[in-house]
Amino acid sequence: MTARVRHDRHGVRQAWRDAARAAGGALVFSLPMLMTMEMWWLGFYLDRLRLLVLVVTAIPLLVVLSRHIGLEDTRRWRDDVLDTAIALGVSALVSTVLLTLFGTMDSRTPPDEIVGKIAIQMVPAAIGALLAKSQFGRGPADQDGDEPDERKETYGGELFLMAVGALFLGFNVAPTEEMILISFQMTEWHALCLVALSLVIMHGFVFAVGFAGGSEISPEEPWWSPFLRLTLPGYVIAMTVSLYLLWIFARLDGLSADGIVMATVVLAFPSAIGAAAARLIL
Amino acid sequence: MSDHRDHQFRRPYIEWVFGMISALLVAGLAGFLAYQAAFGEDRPPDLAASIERLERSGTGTLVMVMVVNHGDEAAADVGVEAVVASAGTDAIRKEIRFDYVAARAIRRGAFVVESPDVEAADIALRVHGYTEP
Repeated sequence: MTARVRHDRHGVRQAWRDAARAAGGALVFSLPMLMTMEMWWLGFYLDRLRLLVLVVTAIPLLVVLSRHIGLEDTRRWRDDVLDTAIALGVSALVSTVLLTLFGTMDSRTPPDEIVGKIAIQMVPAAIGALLAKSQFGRGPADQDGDEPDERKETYGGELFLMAVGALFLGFNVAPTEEMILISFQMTEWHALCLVALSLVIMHGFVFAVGFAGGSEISPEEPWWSPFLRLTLPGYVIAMTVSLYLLWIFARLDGLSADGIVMATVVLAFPSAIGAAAARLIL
Repeated sequence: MSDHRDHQFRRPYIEWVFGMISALLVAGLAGFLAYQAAFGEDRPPDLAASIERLERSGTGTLVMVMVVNHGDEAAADVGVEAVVASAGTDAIRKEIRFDYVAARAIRRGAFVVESPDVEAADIALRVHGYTEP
């Protein structure tokens, strides 16, 4: 009986620790966005359909992310769904508390605006909450000195982590006006050079980090092999994530086709670095 | 050398397929940008404002306008003026400013005119000017 009570207490303590760690992760990841005025404005003027698409597409992404690096070493999908729900709940709470403290919403703010402001912040914060484990060290089992086995990442897993890495950096800058302003200041020559620089930096990270796991790079492999298998697909993922984010944040509205390409190339620069450095960041 | 080749051939087929598709997409992007850079025109902003529609509201009339930039360069701080001249009253001047109008892009805005019986024919739109972004 005493052992059971002790076990329950340990479980409750563990749950609180996980929740606190999730809140810390949410804070680290979403603080730049919580303190960005464009994100507050998007909360009330963003088309509700786009907000819905953001939340709906984020849920499967968060569940799969939880599978890769969650709050705990989960084994079942049900646990991953539960972790995602906890991450979203903690993120909503963190966003509500901070947005209220910053005075961006109060009791007179219309409910629609409150929901919009929290929903748009909740998604990046939830990614941070799930990443909490790798941001803030390991769980109790690891503190005992048991190093977890290096996960053997599949090729699909590598590309998925790249997408999360691209979202990680892309989310921070996508809502800002600077993204389109930079694209206005650039010529197509600049854009072409930026694509080349993005690829060079990406490839540097791909090589430096070595992408441990199933798709590792062996020293005998020629440079073009990981470039073709990892860097180029990684850049396409970064471009796709950038296009998605710019559309979600209504930054492409009214732009011509080449304007859309230019703005996407600009955002793809940080997104590509995020994608390639995913192994370092996540 | 044979070990090296063996190592490469051990890579799953799908990784090369993804790699090739990505290479084609990135080459397409680079080709598009290079074509635009080499053969694209370089005209300065060419701005035109027009009325899209009128909406009657409780306080008067909303004059929905759009600004089109036919040029190849973006314009910043674009000022648009509306002069509303209804019969029997003095002309009313209104101004709105657009942060940016990108090249070959459309931006929308609205003037709030207090009079409820304004017609499109009573309104003259003028683009004041712009700055470089």
